[in-house]
Amino acid sequence: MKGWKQDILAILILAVVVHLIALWAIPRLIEGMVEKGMLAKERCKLNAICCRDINVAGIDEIPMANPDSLFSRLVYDVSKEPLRIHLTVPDTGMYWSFSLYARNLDNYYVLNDRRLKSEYGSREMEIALVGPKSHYKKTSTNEVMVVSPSDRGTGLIRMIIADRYSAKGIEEIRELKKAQELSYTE
Amino acid sequence: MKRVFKYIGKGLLIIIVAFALGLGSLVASIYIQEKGPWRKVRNGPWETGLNTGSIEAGPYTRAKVALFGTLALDPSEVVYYIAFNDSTGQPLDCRCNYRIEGKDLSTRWWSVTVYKDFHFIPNDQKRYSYSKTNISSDKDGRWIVKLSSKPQEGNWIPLGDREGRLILALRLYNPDPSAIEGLDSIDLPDIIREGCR
Repeated sequence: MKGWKQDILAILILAVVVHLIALWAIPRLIEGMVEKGMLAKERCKLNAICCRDINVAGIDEIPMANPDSLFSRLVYDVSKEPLRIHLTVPDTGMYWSFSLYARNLDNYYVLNDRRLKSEYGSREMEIALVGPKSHYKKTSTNEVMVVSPSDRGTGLIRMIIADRYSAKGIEEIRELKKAQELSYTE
Repeated sequence: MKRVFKYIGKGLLIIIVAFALGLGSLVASIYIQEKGPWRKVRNGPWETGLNTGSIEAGPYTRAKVALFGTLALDPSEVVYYIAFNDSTGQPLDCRCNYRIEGKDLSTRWWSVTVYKDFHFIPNDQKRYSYSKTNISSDKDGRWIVKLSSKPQEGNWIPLGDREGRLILALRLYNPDPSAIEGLDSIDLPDIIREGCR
């Protein structure tokens, strides 16, 4: 009887440990898969903004992706040095935003076109993305410092297209794809 | 020797049962989180999470968003309503036709997108959504989107011919403060089943 009690206790303790480890690991594993997909399949480079084509059926790897959005992606590693990100909002498009995600996929920073214009009075801005243990000091007053909660993570620039299904929308996609190159890292 | 094998066998059994229990309870917890009334707002057939994509999200919400809504934005930026059922509570089914009836929403931009098993439905038209900026509506701003595997007049999203779990997403980009305060009461589209194959 004593042996059975010990076995059940061991099962319960181990089950709780497995439960907690899996709960902690799921977002990190998914983020790792997203990073791997961006770096390997989409041939993006680490610490560089990578332009992506508009989503269509069959290549929409991320569940429940927005078909009306054009994305630029960034996989970053700021463990050694800060990353300078230059952002420019294009003239066309319904909505633009730049968002950053930590290793556990928390969306810890987001900036949209309206906020950029109202708070910074510009269509352009410089972000210095630094790691959680960095002692970085801003080099200019125009620079915005953002502290990443983890050394590695991902970034996304979203641009909403008014009508991707029309001839005008296809032209807009072409314009936005050109504008994607206006945002870059140094 | 026999005793050693007995101990190894017992140890393996304990590990297998513990893994099954640990992972099973995790799946159940995420499912309960998805279906449960807490941290979730319901509005007709639509539901949305208050902490989706937020740094304030709990570990179960974080795991759920990682699995089913990777790289979602914080609700202050985008509100994601999801529907798994029609307006009468029946599960959405790819073999059925639906009519989504709504009007313009209090937000900078909105869209309705259809997914099967969380991904776009392949179709010749490459049509997966309608939005504030491309939907045909009447003079009062009311609109209808038809979901069917057969061609329909007006705003039509093809459902294809394969079976699967049908899911609708309604995105509100930069919603008005009144919409954020009334997530459970703002006027959202109805989802009406119109017959099945």
